[in-house]
Amino acid sequence: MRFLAGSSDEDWALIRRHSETRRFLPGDVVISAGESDRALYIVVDGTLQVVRSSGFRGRTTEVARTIHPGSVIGEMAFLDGKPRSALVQAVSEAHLMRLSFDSFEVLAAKDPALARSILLDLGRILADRIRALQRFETGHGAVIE
Amino acid sequence: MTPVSGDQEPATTAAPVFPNYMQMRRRMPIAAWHVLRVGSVAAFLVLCVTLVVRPAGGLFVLWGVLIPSLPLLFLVAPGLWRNICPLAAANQTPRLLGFTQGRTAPKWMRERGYLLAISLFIAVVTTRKVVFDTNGPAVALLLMGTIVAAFVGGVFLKGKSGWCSTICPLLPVQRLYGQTPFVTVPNGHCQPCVGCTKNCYDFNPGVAYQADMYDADQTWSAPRKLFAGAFLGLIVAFFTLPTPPAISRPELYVRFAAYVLVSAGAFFALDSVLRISTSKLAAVFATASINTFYWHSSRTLARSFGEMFGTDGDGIVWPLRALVLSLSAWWLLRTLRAERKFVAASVSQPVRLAPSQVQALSGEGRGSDGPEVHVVPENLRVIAAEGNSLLEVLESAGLPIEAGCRMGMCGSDPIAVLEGAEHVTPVAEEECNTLRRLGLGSTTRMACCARVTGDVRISLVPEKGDARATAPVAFDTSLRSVVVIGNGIAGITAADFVRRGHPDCEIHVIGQEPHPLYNRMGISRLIYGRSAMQGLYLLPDSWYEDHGITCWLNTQARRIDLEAQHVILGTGESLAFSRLILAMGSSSSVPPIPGFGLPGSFVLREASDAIAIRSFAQHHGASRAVVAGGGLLGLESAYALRQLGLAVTVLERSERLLRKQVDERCSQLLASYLDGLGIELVTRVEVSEVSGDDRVRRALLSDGDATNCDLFLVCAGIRPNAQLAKEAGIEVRAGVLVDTGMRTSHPGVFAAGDVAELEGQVLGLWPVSVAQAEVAAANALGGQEVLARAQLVAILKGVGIDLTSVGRFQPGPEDEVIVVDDGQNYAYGKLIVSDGKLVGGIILGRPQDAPHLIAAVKRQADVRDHMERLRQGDWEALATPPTLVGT
Repeated sequence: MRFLAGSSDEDWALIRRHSETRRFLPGDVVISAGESDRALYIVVDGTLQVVRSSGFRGRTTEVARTIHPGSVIGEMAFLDGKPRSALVQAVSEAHLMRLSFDSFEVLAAKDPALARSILLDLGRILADRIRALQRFETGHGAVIE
Repeated sequence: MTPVSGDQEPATTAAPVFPNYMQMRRRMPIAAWHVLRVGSVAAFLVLCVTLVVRPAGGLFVLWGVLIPSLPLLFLVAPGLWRNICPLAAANQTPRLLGFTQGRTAPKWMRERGYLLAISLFIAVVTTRKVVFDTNGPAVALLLMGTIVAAFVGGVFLKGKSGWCSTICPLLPVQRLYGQTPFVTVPNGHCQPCVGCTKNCYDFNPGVAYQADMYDADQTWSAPRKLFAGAFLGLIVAFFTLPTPPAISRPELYVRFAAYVLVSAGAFFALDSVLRISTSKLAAVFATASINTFYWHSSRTLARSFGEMFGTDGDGIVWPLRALVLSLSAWWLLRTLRAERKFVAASVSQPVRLAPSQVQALSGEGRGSDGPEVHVVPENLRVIAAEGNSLLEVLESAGLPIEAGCRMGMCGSDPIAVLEGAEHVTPVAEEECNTLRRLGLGSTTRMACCARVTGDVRISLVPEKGDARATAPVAFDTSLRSVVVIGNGIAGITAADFVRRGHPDCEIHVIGQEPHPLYNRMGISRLIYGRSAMQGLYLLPDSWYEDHGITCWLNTQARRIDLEAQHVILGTGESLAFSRLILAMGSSSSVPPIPGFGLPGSFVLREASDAIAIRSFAQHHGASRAVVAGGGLLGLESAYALRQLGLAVTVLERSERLLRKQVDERCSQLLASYLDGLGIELVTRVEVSEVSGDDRVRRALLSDGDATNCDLFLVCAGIRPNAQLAKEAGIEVRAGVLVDTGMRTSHPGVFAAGDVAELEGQVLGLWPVSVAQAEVAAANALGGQEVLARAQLVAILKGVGIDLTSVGRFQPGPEDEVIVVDDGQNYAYGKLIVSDGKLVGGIILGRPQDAPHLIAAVKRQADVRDHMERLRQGDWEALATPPTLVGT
């Protein structure tokens, strides 16, 4: 599933104008679980990893997923403003575009159509994810009478 | 999107990583399983009978053949056992025959059943050495007891929650060894699944155990971990402890318990020391357990084999051990791989951009070009657009920084430039004064003034400095005391400058509000922000004390006695003064509106107003607000109320917004932007009345319309607080009348800020107040300073779009006008050039050009050489190197 697949260069230029670019060095924490940071990130270059903790008091960490350029991360907290759910670290030097929710509101005031596509795409992606989780975790969705 | 493993692109039709029993290939029809189950139950019953009538034979079959074989079966094909287990068959019979009550298992059983299962299992294993290994009828009784319990569980509870998936003592072993089956056999019982258990093994054998280990609920995962740890100790104890009567029975139980506890303790200790996941550790323990078990049980099996076939079975001992070792090693590898797949699949696949878009983004150059602002200790590296102020960079990065005048005068945004000071624009005069007032360390800059030209390292917390200003060479020693009425920016600036000029005199500052100097320009954020006054205070706590200034907060000046040179306070105390500086500021001006004063009607002037608005809106669940007044404050307030979640209508008396600050086109763009934010704007209308029984409910408009509202806010300008001066006999019109030296009609009394009226004007602007207070202070000390004519700057910030207007914006007949209009992006600029000189301009949505414009208009820059560039929209041309002023 693609994010904003049909958007024009002008749309991206507008998003860029309302975002800021952050640089991370290897090992830097991009997103830490529990922090409140209502923003959407787009990985422009570099590699990141999602780290899950387990074990005694959660001190053991597992690399759950590697994230490559072009990935959009942080959409859950972007939408609901709740604390971040995962830890994301930079593996290599990386540049990320950060669109804060406040900036998004401004962007939405300027270009409601683009804002609508952003929200719809995120909504679609989350809906898909919930379906996948239903299948994956319980599978009951389809069979419970 | 289906969860996928690894880092590949999501496939559109990926097979499930961990197929559930409905997705697995079924090799045998369900009916065949039923037949097998009839056989297994019959065999079970035969075994029970045998245990009673021929105990030796029954015990041989059970302990010599069946039990030693089961762990290997669990390791290889656990599903096979789950399908033919006689206890499961008994448990599922009521469902199959339609007489189960199908109730949901009680909470304790669902959540803590596993602990019961573990306890039963340990109890049975321990008691083998005491009773069960030798007493056939006792074992028969035990087996019959379990099958009856399983059956009863099936009569009452739904699915397999009455036995198999909750309290079956063999369940912990099956789940531990069966987590990565070599052969998967789909569940042949549950038709259909009724969702009776969390992380059900029969539903999805590959996922169940990992899901347990990674469960966020400790009460769920901890018992599973406990068993994985304890099991090894139990096995070692069973095979190594002597059998009664070699030791007493109580001692046997105590030693069993000790082994189990040591083993479990070692597990949790390793879990806390080793940097591997608990799931991996559990798999390693399980591998050790099964090998320990078969180290001993291979002999048992060999003996049984020998007895059955009348041969010497010793030959199979080592091959059996080797088989288990290699199988379990393979199993361990498979388990580790399964864990990795589980973790990857349970973290959602990130949303991706199309490759062309990625290329466009990284190719744009904005990624790695541009100066880097490194914020410590947060360790954030933000790439700034060259020329942006540090304030803009920090704000857009969402970092906690306050903003006020954005001109370096209010002092709300001090930061420390730790490295790369040469990569920010130098300090200009206004900022220099503010820095001196704050008295912070030498690395301090006002973030709004420092524009980035190269890499810098900064800290949001300025370094402490030597607060005391250096004493002047000469000062008037006859001057004993200066009283300043007012604790706003005019009052504080005056007090500060008096102290700079006079190290000795008493200085009293009387403030009616309960707060030390705060950023009045930031109070609209109190409405929607959650940090209340935090960050709004503009001076370090010790500032008054460091400057030898006595501050009277929450104190009212009741009377001024000019004759006796005293200010009498509301508390009854009286302060003598040699010089008096009036800086009482202003209040909101409220036109006479019937109904104003009902709960829910507000003005916004002081921090307490904003705090009250936020409280009121929460308390009454306000959903609609009407803001009367479309000026700068009105728009900022409307934005703040909108941010708080209210539907907002702004009423503007004239035909457009900010009529006195911007031209028509700019008004229009601003209105359309606000409309996009959801702020409704109605022009040419006023409120004629607000009404409601208990609180504000409706606003009646001058055009006859009415609108419902819970909150009514008047932003209709200011009224100087000049009453006290008037009563004292000082000349007052709208404000306290002053000359350009800020002298009032009474010698020795000065006025500055919003309370002062100069040449018929009360401007009510922060920079004007600062400039006036400096002049008032200098002249109070005997100076002869004259207020420089200020170029008025109007700035609209904090509504998500930047607007700056300076000087004239309407051209005269001879003037040249340059307009840059990019309405689609809400960017607009206008310059007025008169006789080759820049005399005014407007900038909307181009924040980086604003400081150049302000500076250029202030110095009436000659722009004749740059007209072409300016017409093209390149307003960098207005920039000139600013004057360097040392700090």
